[in-house]
Amino acid sequence: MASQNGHYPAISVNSLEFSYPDGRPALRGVELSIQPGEKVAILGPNGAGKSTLLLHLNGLLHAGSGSVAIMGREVREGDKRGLQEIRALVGVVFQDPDDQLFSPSVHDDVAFGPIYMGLAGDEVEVRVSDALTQVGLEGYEDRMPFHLSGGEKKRAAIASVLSMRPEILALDEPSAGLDPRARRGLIRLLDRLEQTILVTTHDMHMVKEIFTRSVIMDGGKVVADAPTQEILSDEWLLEEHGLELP
Amino acid sequence: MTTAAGFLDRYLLGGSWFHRADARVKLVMALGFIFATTSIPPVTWSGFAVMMALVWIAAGVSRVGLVRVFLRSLVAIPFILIALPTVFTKPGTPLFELNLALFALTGTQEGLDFFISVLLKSWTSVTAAVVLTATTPPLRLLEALRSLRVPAVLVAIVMLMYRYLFVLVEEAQSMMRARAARSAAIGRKSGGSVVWRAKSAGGMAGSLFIRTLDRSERIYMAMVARGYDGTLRQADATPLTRGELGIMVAALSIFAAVAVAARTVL
Repeated sequence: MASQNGHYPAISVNSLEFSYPDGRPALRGVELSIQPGEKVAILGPNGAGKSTLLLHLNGLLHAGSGSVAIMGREVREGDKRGLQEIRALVGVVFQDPDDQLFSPSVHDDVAFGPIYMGLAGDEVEVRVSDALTQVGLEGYEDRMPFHLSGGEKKRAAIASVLSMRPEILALDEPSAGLDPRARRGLIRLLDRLEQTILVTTHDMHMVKEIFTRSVIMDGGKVVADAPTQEILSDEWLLEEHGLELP
Repeated sequence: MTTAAGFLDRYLLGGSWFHRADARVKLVMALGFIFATTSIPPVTWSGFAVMMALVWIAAGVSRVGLVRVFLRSLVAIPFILIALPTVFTKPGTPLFELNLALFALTGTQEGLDFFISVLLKSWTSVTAAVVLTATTPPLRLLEALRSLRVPAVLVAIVMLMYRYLFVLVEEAQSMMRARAARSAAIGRKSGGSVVWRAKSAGGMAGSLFIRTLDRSERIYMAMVARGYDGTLRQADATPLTRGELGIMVAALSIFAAVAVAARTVL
């Protein structure tokens, strides 16, 4: 599955199908290939399958049929070692930071991933302080997640996966519920990060500013995949899928 | 945000020696103190006096306010009342009689002494716990428990509880606000019957439970996403310094000495 230049795509999704336990189909044959370093936004109405797709990227959900491969490694159910490796490659940031931040302090949350990667104590501390510096939360180690503002919580949640030094970041609606200033800070942060980034979002302004490529999903399928400029200039396409121009 | 946290947070900011000391040292000292206090035999008043003096000196040194420590220590009262019947059940010299309609209760000197002993012991122990929790952030206390080899599962449960209690309280508060917002009255008797109110309260409790269950699923996913594999791991704690160990041993020796003296000399 190597691309033209001989490297593996960061994310490669082939005819991915998935149904929820109650039989409701969520993904019906998703095709998607993302190269390392790309910043891609997934757009689409609620219930289009965007979040479900993200959960497949590090094996939190498993394909009914089709396949998902990360940096050339296939995500396989039951392959414990392989899944641990893939989870270190793909950092998933959930929509509600209160779900992501489950430890009683910011430090413990950011240290959680590195500890489970089996890193030594000093290395864990280096990772924690690096990740907090990257998101601009130096000195927040002892703070309790509950006492943080919405924007700080979001940044702490991102730090909690950055500390694992993933190659790929997958964020579920990162700017939802943030006030303008916190949102601005988040956009700057995402713009600065060098990882391959995949977000699901309804925030068209953010998409326009930092995501070079956009994918529209609707009804469990990819219905459009093109440079953001092209997608955003196609008013008819946007309207068809319940999206608005910025 | 602090509305929910207010009544749960016991920690009071400060810069006293107690605030700066390692949580493990303080925890061991508090546990040793409580153990020594409870092992002093009843009616050894001088023994109780020494322990009370020690705990109140500690409260003074911690500078969180003696009145505040006293008020918080009153949480022990309801539990102490459980010992009240011993005033009447312990055989000994009759002291007074309570004439109730059907029968009379005889209070004895021995019973009263025993009750006051229980009261002083419990209250002194609780005061030590109050000083500990007022000078130690909960997180440090949990870490101390963990490094003192309390089973990791228990500490993890308490940590998650401590983390999400606030979130839960806030969710409950917002549900109650939503109910209050729709509980208008237009002059007539409002609010419906007791049964109807009970039903709506029950519904709220149920919905809170479902929300909590959903959240626990999402938290589990967030943990798995970062490599959680069912085992509990943690970063290693820094070892105690020689000075800290010295303080710990010295304090424990003093408590033990008082307890032993109370049994033999006093």
